[in-house]
Amino acid sequence: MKPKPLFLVVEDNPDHRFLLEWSYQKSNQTCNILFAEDGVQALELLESSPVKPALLLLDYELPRMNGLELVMTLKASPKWKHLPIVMMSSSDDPHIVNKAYFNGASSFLEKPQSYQDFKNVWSLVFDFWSLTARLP
Amino acid sequence: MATKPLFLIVDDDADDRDLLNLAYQEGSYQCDLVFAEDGREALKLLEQSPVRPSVMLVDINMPGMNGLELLQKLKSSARWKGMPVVMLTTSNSPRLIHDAYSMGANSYLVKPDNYRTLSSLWDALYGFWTNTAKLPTYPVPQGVS
Repeated sequence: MKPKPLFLVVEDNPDHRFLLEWSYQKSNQTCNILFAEDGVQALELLESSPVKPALLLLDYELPRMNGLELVMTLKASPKWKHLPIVMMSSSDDPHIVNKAYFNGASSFLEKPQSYQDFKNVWSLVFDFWSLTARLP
Repeated sequence: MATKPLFLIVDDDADDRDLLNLAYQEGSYQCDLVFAEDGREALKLLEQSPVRPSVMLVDINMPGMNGLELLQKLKSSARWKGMPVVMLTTSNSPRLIHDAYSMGANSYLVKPDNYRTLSSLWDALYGFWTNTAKLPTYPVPQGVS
């Protein structure tokens, strides 16, 4: 059986990490997920994890190294430029959305506002990227 | 009134274009489709049309300018690099998938080998890109870099 892809979720907000984990548990669990709390920790995990993530789910607003800085770092790296990055933010400011795509984000999501939406959106995101899309 | 999202589909195979169109017609999707037959025609359409696609679906194996060449042109253009480009091809080669993402493809899908699966693919594609993802807007505002 084909192994499930690993998604690295980079999120500093513990409540949002909890909701993502909860949404994941309620989903079809078509992927495995691993959490990092900011960009610096994400880079450390990318280097140290024996199983390499097939996709990054990345919060835009993060301490130390923000989401956009991490996108730019990864897209400039021959080792990681192939990694699809789905950015997420509480803001749907078109300037932020454009900036994310322009700098190499694969897609952009506005964080859902309710439990039900959280569950529905993340189920759809997990399923689209792990079942429909082919990942590197 | 908000305009419907527009998908620009670039595929040289007339049967594949017809099947994609048929699956689209049978769904109740709130989007529009435009077709181009190869990379050159797609670039011409992009330059000439006042309407900007929300998402491009691009085949890889095409004569003239293939999908990866088109992808490279779009992703090296300040005007088009932010536009989502989803590769839609028959090849499932890990090398090709890796290369397409490295060159800036926003996603990579494999063409299904039967019509029923094609309808499911449209559902997933439409559900993610138009109902879930936030898409870039045009023109790209000043100061985006």
